[in-house]
Amino acid sequence: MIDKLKEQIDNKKISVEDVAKEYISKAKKLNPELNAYISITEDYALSHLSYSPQNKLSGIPGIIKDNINIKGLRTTAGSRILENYISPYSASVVLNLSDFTLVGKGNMDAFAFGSSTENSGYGVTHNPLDKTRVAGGSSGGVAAAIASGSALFGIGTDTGGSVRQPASFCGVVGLKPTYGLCSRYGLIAMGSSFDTPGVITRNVYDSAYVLNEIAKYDKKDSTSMKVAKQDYTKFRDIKDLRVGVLNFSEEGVDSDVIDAFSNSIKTIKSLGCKVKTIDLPHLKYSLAVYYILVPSEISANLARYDGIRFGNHPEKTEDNNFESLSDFYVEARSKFEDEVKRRIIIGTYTLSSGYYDAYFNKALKVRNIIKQEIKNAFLDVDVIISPTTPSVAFKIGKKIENPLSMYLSDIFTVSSNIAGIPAISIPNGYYNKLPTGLQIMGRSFGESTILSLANFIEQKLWK
Amino acid sequence: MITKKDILHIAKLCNIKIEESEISKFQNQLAQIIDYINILNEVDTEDIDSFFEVNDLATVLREDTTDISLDFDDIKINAINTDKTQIKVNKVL
Amino acid sequence: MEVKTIIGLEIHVQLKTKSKMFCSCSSEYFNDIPNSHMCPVCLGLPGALPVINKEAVVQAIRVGEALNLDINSKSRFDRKNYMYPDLFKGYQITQFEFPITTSGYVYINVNNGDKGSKSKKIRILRAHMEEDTAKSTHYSDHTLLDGNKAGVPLLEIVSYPDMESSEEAKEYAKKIYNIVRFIQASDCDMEKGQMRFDLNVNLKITKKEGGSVVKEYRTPIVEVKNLNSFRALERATLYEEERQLEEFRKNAEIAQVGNKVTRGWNDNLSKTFFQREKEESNDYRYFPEPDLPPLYLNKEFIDNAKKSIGILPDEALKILEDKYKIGSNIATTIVEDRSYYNYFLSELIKYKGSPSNLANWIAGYIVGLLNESGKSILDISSGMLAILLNLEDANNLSSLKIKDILKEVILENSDLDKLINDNIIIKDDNMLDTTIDNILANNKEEVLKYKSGKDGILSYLIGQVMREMQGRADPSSIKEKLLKKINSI
Repeated sequence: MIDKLKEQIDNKKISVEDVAKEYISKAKKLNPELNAYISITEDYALSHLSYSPQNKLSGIPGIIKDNINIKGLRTTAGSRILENYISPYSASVVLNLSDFTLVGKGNMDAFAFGSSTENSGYGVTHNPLDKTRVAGGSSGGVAAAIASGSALFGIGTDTGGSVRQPASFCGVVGLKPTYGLCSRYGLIAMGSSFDTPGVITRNVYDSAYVLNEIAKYDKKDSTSMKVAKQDYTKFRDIKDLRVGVLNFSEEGVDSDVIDAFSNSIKTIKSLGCKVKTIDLPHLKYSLAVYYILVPSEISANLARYDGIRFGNHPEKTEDNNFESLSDFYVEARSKFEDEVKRRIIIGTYTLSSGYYDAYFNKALKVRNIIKQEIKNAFLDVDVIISPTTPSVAFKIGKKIENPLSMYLSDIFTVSSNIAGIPAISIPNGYYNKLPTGLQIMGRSFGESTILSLANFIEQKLWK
Repeated sequence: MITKKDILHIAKLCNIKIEESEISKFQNQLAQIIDYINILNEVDTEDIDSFFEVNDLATVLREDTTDISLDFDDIKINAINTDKTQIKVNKVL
Repeated sequence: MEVKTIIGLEIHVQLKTKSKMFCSCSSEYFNDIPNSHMCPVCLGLPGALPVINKEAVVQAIRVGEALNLDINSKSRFDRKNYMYPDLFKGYQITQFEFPITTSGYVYINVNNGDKGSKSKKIRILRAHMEEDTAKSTHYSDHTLLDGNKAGVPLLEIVSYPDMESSEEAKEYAKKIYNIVRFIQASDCDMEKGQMRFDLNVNLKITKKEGGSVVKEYRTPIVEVKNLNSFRALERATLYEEERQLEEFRKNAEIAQVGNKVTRGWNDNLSKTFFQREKEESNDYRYFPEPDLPPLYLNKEFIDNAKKSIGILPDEALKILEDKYKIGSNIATTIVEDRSYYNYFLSELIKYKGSPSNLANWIAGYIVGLLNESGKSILDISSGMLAILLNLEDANNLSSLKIKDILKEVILENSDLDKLINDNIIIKDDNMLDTTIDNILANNKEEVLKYKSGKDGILSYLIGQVMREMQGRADPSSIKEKLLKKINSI
């Protein structure tokens, strides 16, 4: 889709300005019911229109998750604590999208903590396919915008599934690249050793197309990797590809999800791939590792929100005169949403004196074991497949009061963040109009392989 | 067992206010999560390295060169208060 | 009752680099406009990421080598978590569990009673890299924050509690100062805050009866933070020794197993004051910095850094004393600064006279001129001092004139050649004879006094002649001729 629009723009069949106006007006029309955007940046977009034929995303409308900094624009990370924050710099990943048209900033769970966008300080995002259901999260706004057609591509962030899970819930494609392939500079940090920028699009080709632009070494990110440039849209032959089917417990997984997954395996076989079941015994510890390490990193990453240099500034009142420094801090940080507070508290607890070895250090070591186990598995297979999520999009409000059950919905997605490997979610079925997702994980920097398989499955299933 | 005292101590460390009425809620939720993550005790980690980098990167260094800094206007726009080019906060000690 | 002082020091030095520890803002901020050296990284803006400055690592290795520390091939950075307005990210990036250097020592000279002085080994636990915090200035109703200092690279050098008196603490601090400055890893300018001391001090009090120990007490450890001069370090130590002993006596000599206490130093009052008890809230929750891959330093990297140190001050001192026969005081002054030592060596190549004369001029005159003018020895053109001293040795220039010339050239940037021309000794016997005759004719009374035994008059007369000659005469010739003429009167 993106390449078709680019062609039309290049051939002067449509102007960059008309494209911008069309998508922005669609976003404005849909936003009251979907709430996919925290800001629709009409003035910014129209005053920044620019076109150069060699820039692949020139004039292409995109949505950027609101935890990714854009110079001169409000960047909230979905939290009220940053409601007035104007970023003085742009994330590297945004700078790599030369000349794209910014439709707006995507709604999200505050600081990307959540799997439903219900934890946003700016209201829940509704699933375009069923407005009583969540769009998933934390990149729920981006997924909803792509699914409803108000932008052609979206950049989200994925720490434990935040790109893939909402993509699955909204029936679109979500790609989480290898940790280190795309720069984290300018992404508001959640779990720094897990976070990656990710892409959400309508189809696999578009994901590959956008990845071509954002896969770039960045000296400002010490964890960025120098990788040989390649064209991800050139899909490779997947005949004889060795596909590992993850052996998982079906407990807690919807039967619809299992049916769709079984169907996908048949499709993959019909494409000429070699399929075998694969056991990863330590994968069952992934969630526990995740829910120790990520909150620990969060507790430090969110200490900078102190109400002094940026963010919500507490004001003296008669009741609150800030007798002490901690009174001031507590007031400034009272703007954090509940889930944010909860994760800071968990992380502070797991790092606090006497618990470091039992929790953080233990989890770090288990992370090493899981990473090694996954690496070894890729000696036998080229990709590993599983469902993206254990259920289809759930009803708004259903899980919000039970954090643990919400956390469990990341069960299939967190492993690739634990090991830093790439993974993609593509739609693989619809049940009562609600999509299910197939997840394909690959070797580190094996984006090309998972994109190729995803592309051929997509062709076979939907075309 | 996570006590009320634990919760208050942690809240103080991270400067998050927990209302009296919320303490038991946080206590329960935290206990549930801690209970879940204790599953890691099953794993033998005796000989496992505690150094971790996702891609086994190491020794990433930059050359000692300088670059332009921000204009104070870009700092001022977000700061609580300023005095000339200093950030001004209420007496907080 | 026997009282022993136990002292350990944590010394922070600002490593000499162009840019900050984790970003490309300039680390030379002194007296600059507040917050003019800030970027998203050191301002702690959401989304900004640190990158390690290679030069800071090199400097840390150099200091480590100079202080006999082991350089660890495997180290990493950690986050130290606490919230304070001058700590912009809410955590400090430092090295906790795996510092870059561990386990070293230096020797200091300590008083040995009647036997003069002896050498004492002070062990160093570790030296690790970290970033500095912002500067806060407190007023009665508000606080101002300047982030120029935030993120500047520091090396924290932690000693064992091996010092037993304020003199030893001062000697150790000076030793570190001298070494770090000499290898040019830091300027250690204390007025600019480039070197600061955190003092840890307590007392071990032993009660004895008939020679055997009855009971042993230890006073709670007191940490006095951010002392910024050797004098403050010495006085704070002395003050704490007295205060803790008094406290111990006041508390009816009950053993106190109290918590470590942080006290501040008031330089005007020469007193420490209570700040806070280090209690449980000081839970720093260290964990490895996820934004920075660990440091695995290979042998080549470490060796290159080590090699760049060149000579250490103690080695330089030995060369000056043993090879060049320079007196200890003069030699010590020259090794105060690597540039003095380099200057000495480079002038020595061109100077034909004795090394100790050259050293005397540098230590006894030039260093003073530099201190007065705030200039660096590197500003002095190479070879000038050697030229002047060679002229003096050949009786072509008086030492008085050399002092004037050096002053004019160094302070006023005057032209050296012209000054030499204007001041060179005039070797014209007729002119000197005439001048002496005139002086003798005008000072008949003084000549008589001299003849009657007032020897001091001679130098007065020499001075008169010299003045008449505008300093451009050789004093020994004046003296010789004067005596001859007086005797013949």
